[in-house]
Amino acid sequence: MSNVINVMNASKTYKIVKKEEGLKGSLKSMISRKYEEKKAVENVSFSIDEGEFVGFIGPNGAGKTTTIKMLSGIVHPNSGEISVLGYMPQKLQNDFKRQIAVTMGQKNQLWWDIPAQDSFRLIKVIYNLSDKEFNKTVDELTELLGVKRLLDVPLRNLSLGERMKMEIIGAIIHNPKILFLDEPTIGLDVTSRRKICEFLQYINKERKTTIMLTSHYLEDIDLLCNRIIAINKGKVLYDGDIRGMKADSLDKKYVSVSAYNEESLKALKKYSNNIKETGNTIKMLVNRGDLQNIGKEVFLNDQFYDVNIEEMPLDEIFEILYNQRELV
Amino acid sequence: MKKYIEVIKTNMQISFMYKWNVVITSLMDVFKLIAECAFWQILFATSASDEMYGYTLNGLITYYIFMYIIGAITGMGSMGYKVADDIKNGTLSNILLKTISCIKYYFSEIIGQKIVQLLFSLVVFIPIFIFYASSINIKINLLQLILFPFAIIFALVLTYLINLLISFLAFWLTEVTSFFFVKDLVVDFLSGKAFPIDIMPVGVLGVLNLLPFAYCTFFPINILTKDLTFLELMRGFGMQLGWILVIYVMVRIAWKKGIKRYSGTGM
Repeated sequence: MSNVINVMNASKTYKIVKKEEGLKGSLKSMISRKYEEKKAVENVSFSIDEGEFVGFIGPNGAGKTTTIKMLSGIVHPNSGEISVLGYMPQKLQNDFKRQIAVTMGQKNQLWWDIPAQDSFRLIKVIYNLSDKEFNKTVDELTELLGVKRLLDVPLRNLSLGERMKMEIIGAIIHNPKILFLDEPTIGLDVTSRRKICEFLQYINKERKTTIMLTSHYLEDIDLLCNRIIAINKGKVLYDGDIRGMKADSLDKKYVSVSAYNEESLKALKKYSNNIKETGNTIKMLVNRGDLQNIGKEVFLNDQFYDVNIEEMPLDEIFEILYNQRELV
Repeated sequence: MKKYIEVIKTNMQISFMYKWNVVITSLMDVFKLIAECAFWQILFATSASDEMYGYTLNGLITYYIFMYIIGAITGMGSMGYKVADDIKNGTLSNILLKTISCIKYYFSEIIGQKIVQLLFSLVVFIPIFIFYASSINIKINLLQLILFPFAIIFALVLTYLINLLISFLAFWLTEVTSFFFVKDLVVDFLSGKAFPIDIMPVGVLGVLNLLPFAYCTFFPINILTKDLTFLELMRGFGMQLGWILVIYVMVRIAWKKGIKRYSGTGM
């Protein structure tokens, strides 16, 4: 497997105007502007192999979008080295642009006033694709996403989900080697989200497209990605297998127990200091090592009528991760 | 080249979708033209002489008719605002990431819109021509007729580059709308859109002839309406091409520096 993306100590700092509160602040800012440096990305390093499906996660403002912008060449890094397919992205050479694609969930890339098929045709000519190749791709992709019948409807008349599907097709018509997706499923309903996820899985497998996906829907990430890179405040917190993270990084489980009387429940409370009570049920976060003892207590006591042991949900793992620094 | 033709075709398609917008823009031109002509008619009616600032009434009517036609061809509409907006809200990234040049892309966009607008303008201006037929005096020789299309194309390119340069200010400033207001005022005044600039004192005219703006409107009108000497023609084209080159270099520099600052906001 060859390396397609290589990031070495990349940093990006934005200069933002700082203004004091209110009108007085505005007047002050007119005379002497104060700038503040905002470190969007700080010394980020990672590399991605061909064919990987990488989930790129972090809270809002973590630096995900800035990183994607640097990788696609839209934004120039202040320092560090970035190489994508052997190119320096910010040079924006045509040979580079032909091999990548970027889709942003909150932005339109297709032309708003015309039907998707006309936008696709324009993209075809811009990327110099052959008729045969183009027709086959559009046929296949619209079929997969179930939007074939909408090809001749002006984009502005499509629903958000339909539009997003068209946007993704528009992004990969030229068969890029790398696809950057920034929140492609934001605001979509479950059915559309699932369809898009299946589709991404398909192109990752069939076309061997390397995909880097950011999303706040961690179930999607869990389903699709074989590796995650988590960043916060511009720094990489975790880089590795998603399952590895679940199993090792946090040695905790949720145990829910229901009992007929409160006394029995009370006895269990010593195992955890993170307890939620609802009626006859308590849900507590316990150390994996205590599971055996809890089990013994529960099964030997006839007051308990239900037990449930769950993994810690991904969101929570990440929340803990984001709050700690440099966990790994 | 093929891709730019496709961009032109797509934008013609979009313009046709907004055909009422285009029709009304053309009609506005006609109303302004009629108002302008009426103004000078009144002025001449109250004046003793039948020549003002070296123009007869018919000369002025001819000037305004061609000014509006040339304006319809070379006017940039809201293109400058659009580019500035694309820079401001990050839409520029869409073009930036495609295998297409942004400077040529926006030019193709405007060409597509112009072709549609021209079709409507022609329809609207035919009645005007018939109405003012007796007033129009065209002084044109074969050489001027041959050169006129070139003057128009160069005027279009020059106007485009001036607008593009101003929109690139958006790389450094967040809001450039006011610059376009100022530009519209200044350029209308200096390019001969408000009135023929040769009614100005010789000294002022000398300065205006050195600036690029006169070559966006005034010079192409003169080719159609005045008997220019070969030297005047060559000087006019020389200035047009010279300014195109200078502003193109400025646009390239602004682009190169601007794109480094570009952050693709919101994207």
